Amino acid sequence: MQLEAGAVATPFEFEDYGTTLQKCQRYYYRHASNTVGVAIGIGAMITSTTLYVMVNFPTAMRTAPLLESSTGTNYYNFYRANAFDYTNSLTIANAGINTAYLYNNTEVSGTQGDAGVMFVDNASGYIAFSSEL
Amino acid sequence: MRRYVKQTHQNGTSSIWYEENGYRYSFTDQDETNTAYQTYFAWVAEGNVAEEWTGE
Repeated sequence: MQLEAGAVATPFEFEDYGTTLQKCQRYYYRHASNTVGVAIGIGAMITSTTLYVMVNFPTAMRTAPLLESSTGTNYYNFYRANAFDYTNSLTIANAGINTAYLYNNTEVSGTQGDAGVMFVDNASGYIAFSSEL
Repeated sequence: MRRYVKQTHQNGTSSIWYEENGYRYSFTDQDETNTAYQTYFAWVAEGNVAEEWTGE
């Protein structure tokens, strides 16, 4: 089905899946969800109690987005220096239309400067970005 | 009634969030065209004040 403005119908446009997905992700992008072990991003302990994780978006979003993330005990895990830091939530710290930094400064504790990877560690973990109108 | 929490970072920008139904919805004050920020801004204009988070 094709909807368009105006009184004159134009030929039906066949759009490939990738193009349609890219258009959708401009408004809503599900980054990691409902699968244990899925990576969220690379990050570092910027202080002994504050963790930052970087996320790149697959396409430029309409605006700097809202982060939609589920919260629960040990939903997310930061693997660094052969140790795990569990977190219950993530919050957006800085955001543009192409990238965002997420952070946690309530559950983590570690050595400042340690780098690692943040991943989903609960089947209910959910990370998405929204730039809906 | 929605309860907003706000944390100002060392670089002067702020993270603002609220929680509903097991989800945290967070955004920054860096882009005023963000719909969530506009909703928050309207809430503040009504005289409401977000709780300040000083955990960092």
